Amino acid sequence: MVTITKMMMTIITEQNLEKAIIHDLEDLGVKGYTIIEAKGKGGSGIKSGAWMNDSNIQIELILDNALATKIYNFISDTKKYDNYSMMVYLSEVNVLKRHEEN
Amino acid sequence: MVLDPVVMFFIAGFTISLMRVDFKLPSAIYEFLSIMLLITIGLKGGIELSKQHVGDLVGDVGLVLLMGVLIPLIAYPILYLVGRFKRVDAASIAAHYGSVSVGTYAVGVAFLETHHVTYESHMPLYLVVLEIPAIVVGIILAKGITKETNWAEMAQESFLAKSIVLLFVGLFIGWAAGEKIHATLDPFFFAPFKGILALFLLEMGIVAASQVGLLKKYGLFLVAFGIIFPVIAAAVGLEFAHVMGLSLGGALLLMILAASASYIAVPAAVRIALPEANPGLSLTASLGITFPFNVIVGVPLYYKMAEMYLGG
Repeated sequence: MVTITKMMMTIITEQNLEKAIIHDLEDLGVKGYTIIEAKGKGGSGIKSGAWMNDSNIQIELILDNALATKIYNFISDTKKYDNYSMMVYLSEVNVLKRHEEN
Repeated sequence: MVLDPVVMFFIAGFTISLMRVDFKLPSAIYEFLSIMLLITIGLKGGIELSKQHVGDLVGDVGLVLLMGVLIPLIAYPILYLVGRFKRVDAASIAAHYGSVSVGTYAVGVAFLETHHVTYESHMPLYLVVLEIPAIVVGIILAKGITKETNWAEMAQESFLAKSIVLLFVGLFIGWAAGEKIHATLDPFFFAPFKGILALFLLEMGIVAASQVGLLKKYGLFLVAFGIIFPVIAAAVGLEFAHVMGLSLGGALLLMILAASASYIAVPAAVRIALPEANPGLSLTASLGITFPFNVIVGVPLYYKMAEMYLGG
């Protein structure tokens, strides 16, 4: 089994913010991402997922260390998202290498 | 007065949600129902537009735009000075009330059909027109005209919002195809209109009831505003209808457009444009108070007001 160690960044935030945050992430150099519609409960109340203004999204990014740091710095410095509920966490993942030539 | 069956569906949804029955329509079905309503309403208006000179309506469209600017300007000082809300919250709520709710409009259409009252069928055009100005006025009230606001992005968000695009699609196809559309599309769009609306309102009742718990948090002023302001706005709408020379049915629909508050397009746009505004405040007011009030009490009340004023 050949795997490469990468960082997985998970961002849970309001669905309304999807376009804006994806725009920022792409500006920072992100090439790919996965978005999952989510519901849940936290510091800013219940998000029941019943309709758009009441839904969250979970964005998952697989990154190398440098880009993860760059995004981390951007998110902790910017004031843009101060008024939105947002949770960001990082974890180390082992990504399966599918083609030997890569 | 006997309640319209579609309104009973709303009350049923509201009640079962308050009883904590775990039921809601799958969100894809809810979306489908709102798509059906938007396209059907658009088609109805478009077919009528195909029978008249669109150019004749330019003056009236201007008046309706003016109404859309005026209503948030009336709401804002009440919220800011009397309600003592923060500037940005007052502006955000004002934007919600200046805009419109398609669900409430559809209830008005069903009410007129039940009572066999005719109306100017180009009213859906005004539904489209009224979505925009309130959002712009709200942002200006909150921030003034600053470079900070990304107006291009704002325009993209509001003009190309799903609800506006779908209404336009209906309007355009109705206008292009004209009367002959009835022969082919009647069974799918027009005949089931009230059934679709009934299911839509069942779900809206459930969603509206979920806001009730927040009422205590936001206080009595917001509840009073959510009930009294729509009546004031309806009166403004009635005066515009009088100036425009609308029929009784048309006047009712314009009053409903004036009195209703947005709970889909504006919340999404304002969340992006005015992040400092508390989204809970405006949503609770428009969805938890004003929408139920308009659906159950407002529509028949505005009809009575129109009858008295226009001498129907």
